[in-house]
Amino acid sequence: MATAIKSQPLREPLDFAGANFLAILYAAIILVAFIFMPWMWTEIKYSGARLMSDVLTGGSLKTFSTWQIVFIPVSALLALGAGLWGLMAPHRGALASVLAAAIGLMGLVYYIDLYWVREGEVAEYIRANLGAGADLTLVALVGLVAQTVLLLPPVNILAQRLGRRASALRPPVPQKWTPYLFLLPALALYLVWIIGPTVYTFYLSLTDWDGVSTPNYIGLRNYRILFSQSALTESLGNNLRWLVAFVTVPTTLGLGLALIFNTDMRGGRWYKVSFYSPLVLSWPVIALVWAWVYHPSKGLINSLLIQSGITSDPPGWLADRNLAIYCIIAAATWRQVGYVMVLYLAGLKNLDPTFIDAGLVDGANRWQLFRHVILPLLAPVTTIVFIISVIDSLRSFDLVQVMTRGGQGTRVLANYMYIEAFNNYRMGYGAAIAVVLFTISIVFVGLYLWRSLKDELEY
Amino acid sequence: MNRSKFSKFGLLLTLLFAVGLLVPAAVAQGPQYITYNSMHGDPIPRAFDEEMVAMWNEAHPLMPVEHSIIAHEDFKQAIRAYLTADPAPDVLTWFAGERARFFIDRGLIADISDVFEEYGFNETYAPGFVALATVDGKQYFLPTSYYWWAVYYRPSLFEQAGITEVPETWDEFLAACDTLNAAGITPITIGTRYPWTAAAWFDYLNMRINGPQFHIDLMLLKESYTDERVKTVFEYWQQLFDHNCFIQDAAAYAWQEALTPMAEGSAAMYLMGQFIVDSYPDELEDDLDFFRFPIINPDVPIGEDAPTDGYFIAANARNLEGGKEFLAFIGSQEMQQKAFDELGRLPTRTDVDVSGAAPLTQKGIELIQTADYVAQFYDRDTTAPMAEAGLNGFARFWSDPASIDQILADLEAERLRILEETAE
Amino acid sequence: MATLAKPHAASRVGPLATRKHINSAAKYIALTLFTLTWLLPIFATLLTSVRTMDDITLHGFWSLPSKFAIENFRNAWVAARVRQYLLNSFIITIPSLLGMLFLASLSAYALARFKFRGNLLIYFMYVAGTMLPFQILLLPVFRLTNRLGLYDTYGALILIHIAFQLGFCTFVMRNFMRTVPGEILDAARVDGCGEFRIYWQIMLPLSLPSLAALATLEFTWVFNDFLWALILLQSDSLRPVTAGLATLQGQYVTDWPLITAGALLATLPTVFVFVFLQRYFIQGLTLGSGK
Repeated sequence: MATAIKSQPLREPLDFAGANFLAILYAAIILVAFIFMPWMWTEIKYSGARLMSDVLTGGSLKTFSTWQIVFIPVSALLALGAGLWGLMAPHRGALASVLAAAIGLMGLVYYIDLYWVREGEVAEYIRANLGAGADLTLVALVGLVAQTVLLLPPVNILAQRLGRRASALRPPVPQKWTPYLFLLPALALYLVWIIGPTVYTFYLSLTDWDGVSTPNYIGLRNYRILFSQSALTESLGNNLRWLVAFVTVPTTLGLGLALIFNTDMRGGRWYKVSFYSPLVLSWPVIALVWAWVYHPSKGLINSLLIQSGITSDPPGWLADRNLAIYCIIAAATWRQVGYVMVLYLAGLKNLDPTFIDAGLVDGANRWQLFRHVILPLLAPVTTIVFIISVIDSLRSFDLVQVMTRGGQGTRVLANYMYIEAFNNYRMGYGAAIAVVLFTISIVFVGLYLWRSLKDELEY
Repeated sequence: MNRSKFSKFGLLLTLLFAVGLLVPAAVAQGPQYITYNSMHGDPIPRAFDEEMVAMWNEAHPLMPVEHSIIAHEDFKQAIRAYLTADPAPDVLTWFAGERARFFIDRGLIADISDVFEEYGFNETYAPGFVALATVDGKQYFLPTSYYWWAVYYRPSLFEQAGITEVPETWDEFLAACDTLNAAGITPITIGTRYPWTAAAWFDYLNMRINGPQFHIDLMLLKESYTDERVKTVFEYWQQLFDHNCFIQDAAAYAWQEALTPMAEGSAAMYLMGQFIVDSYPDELEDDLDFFRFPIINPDVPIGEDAPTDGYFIAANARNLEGGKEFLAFIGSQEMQQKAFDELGRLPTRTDVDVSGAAPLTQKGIELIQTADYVAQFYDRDTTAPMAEAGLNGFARFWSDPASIDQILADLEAERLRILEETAE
Repeated sequence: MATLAKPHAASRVGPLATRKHINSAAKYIALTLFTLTWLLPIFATLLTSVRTMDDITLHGFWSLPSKFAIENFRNAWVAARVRQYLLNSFIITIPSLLGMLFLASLSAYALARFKFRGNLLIYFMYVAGTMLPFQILLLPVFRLTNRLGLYDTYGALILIHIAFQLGFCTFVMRNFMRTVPGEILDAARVDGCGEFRIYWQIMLPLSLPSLAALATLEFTWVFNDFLWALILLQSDSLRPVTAGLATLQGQYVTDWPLITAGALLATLPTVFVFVFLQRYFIQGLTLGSGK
């Protein structure tokens, strides 16, 4: 088809962006309908995604759909890819459009199967109870196939003309609105899900909300109670320990490793990979791995200690109230070192080698070189590492939650808040803890913003 | 032939009608099934739970139960979120007593008086359990089983250490600990990773020292945690630490994990509920027995912990009617008989045949019947926020016994705060 | 390995060289030992996952498996439902990624390419939002999803992931887009291209490398999320793998081999990404701190 079009060079140039754009639009509609609309009945709970998951894994709703439903998200994703490819590589636009249509046909298999192939009570039930998401998806799939009509030269040209006519008719968007239009979708989402809730947390902290009844305003009482609790001191203390550990251990260790691996050493890559591989592990996985390492009778450390004869009475690690928090912090540090190392490696790579050469010419020894040349040059990276460490230590939650659930004196602010809010049903009180956490964090965030403000203004 | 064609045509018409015109009405019904969240994660109760659901689903193909099993500790954390969601799960497992009361007071649990009425539960359930289910004359909770707590032990290990009689008094108990220690056996195992296991020790010490009345008053926040009598409880508890009675690093283990030393023959006793047998290795079950928690003050009545478990329907349930039917099924004589036969849980119905029970179960029934007072359990008898603070306090005492005065002061402060809040 | 260091070749003669050799050998040995210790927890997990608990109890942790218990993986996959959890993770992660990259690239384009009132303010708002502890959002977001009927759906998680990661993505994309020379865009503008067309036909293709790096990094982040899944879902059948794993630990308390096997399976997708897209992953990590 594409060649056929190319053989008519005399007409005005064909533009397939419209077709590709439509493909993307329809694919996006399918995805949204699949996830956020009821595929059956009327509740979002029964979205296509949910039904698909149940069909694939034998879940409780498996009878209410068929395995062909898998075609729906797959075709949406593929069509999205095809459309994007067409947009970014315009000379392949026609091919992309055809591809998208073929993909749309694949998605239609679900409906063909449902309406013309399948029979029986279940199929009838499904047909009778299909929800809005399924209907919208059908329309979008048909659209996905139909967008190929724009490949026909007359239609294409007509569409282009219509488009130009329409944009001429439309009142021109003032230039100064353009950035806001670009920002609008993201900003709307951000306001509803991030900014609004942050403000709302402040309000909740002044109420006695218990999660069920309507919140009553009680002034600063939550804060008064909070500041008299030893639990707050414990959590703050643990956050502080975490913070101190995070800005010292991973930073020095990471910097040291980065300096070692920055040289061209044999097999350096493998060493590096070993150190940053913990970064891909999720916190719950790290928590499980380390809980097993710390297991007092069968775990890695203690069985090593006992079998090598170092001690017959090894510590209980997580069971030892004095050690537990440090055990958790050690696990967190294990992951953090790799991150810091990556940051420093990148920083070292960007260093201007002439400075270092100059230092070498001056006859500086290694330590002097490091102390007086490299370290000052790395100062920006160090600031970043410092801020990231502080922020990460304030955010810590997952490890504590999985390893001790805040027991054994290991609570940090985030866990304290989670326990009070979702365990003890004191949502207002939990919000007050969140506000304390927020207040501490904002100091450091402010520090970071102030620093980058200078950069921005110089720009 | 004609008829079937006609009916097919009719069906098609109805379908078209339904799809074309009455889409909202046809759709609004939603799926007809019952959601059921339970917390039976351990293998044996889990198998029982799944079989129960399978039996229901077999009998009711058009109203199946969608079953989610959530780990016990997670369930306890998440239940508030479940109940406030809209719609909530239909049927949930839970504990009788204050923990259910807490939700009933907040209107999160549906009134199931009609189930009690319709299925004759008011007559067939023991009056004490009907009372447990009732708030202001209405039933909200379906208690289905209860079990006893006792000091479980391995007779063979006692024998090995030279203990011929199970300890009945506190002195005998401490002596037994010493003897076991001398024989190289840890006297008592416990896993306090989730600190409720430690609360059993508090319950029993308090009931044995100060009597059940004081215990229940303390649970109802009528007595002070800084009372001398509470302090005494911890002094007795301290004696157990002084005699090295407990396993090391208890806080590292969940209660099931703490069974391992017992199974391996390195620990002898475990203060635990009857459900210990679910996780205890089958091949060792002949070597498992229990005795009543030793008497400390012979002048006070004997109190025992016998927690009651059961089910309820969320007030926000989508399928209220289906949920009630399923609840009636769970509460039926057949299911309670099955739970008694297979799990050894004691029935709350009076018409369950308990004559064929295993000797250990008979002994358990006797243990409860000879008690003067039956408590639920620490975290089921006292209010939810107090329970949370109390359990944490016990865990803290466990790892740092010296700070007991501070712990009790904190608990008292929490008690006063809760009283103040509820007074408003 | 291809980067064989020059000094090695140069200093191959004389006693000095021997000392250097010994030195570097010692350095390698020390480094290797340190690295192996570092990876010990991972080895422990691997070792445990192919054994049975009885085996560990009988022979201790440091012994060769008496039997290669591959069924731990099968049990974790089917009976412990890791299969289902992993599928859920993908259902949540992929749309989240698409959504956040699209929305963030839009706003980044505006922030990087236009001078307008509030530009810096909005930018800083995104940056600050990225750095704040997201735990403060828990309660209101929980309430909001409940109100919108999104509680206990994939959608709830997808929306919060998109919204929360918007800050970071915008931050990174904006800083990248600022490095694109303005002349290219101006030329297109002169040609009469609309701004939107410039965005997707010029800016997006140019940003592909940073989009790839960002996508790789965000994939692991969203995939590894735990807290939101804990709060916004109630059905076990919807749980992503991280939250599912925590449940495993509650249900199979005494079966460490099964738990470690589950943990390994749960890690596979991110390891896969790490192995094949390592360059982008590392790039992504440094992107955030860069500028």
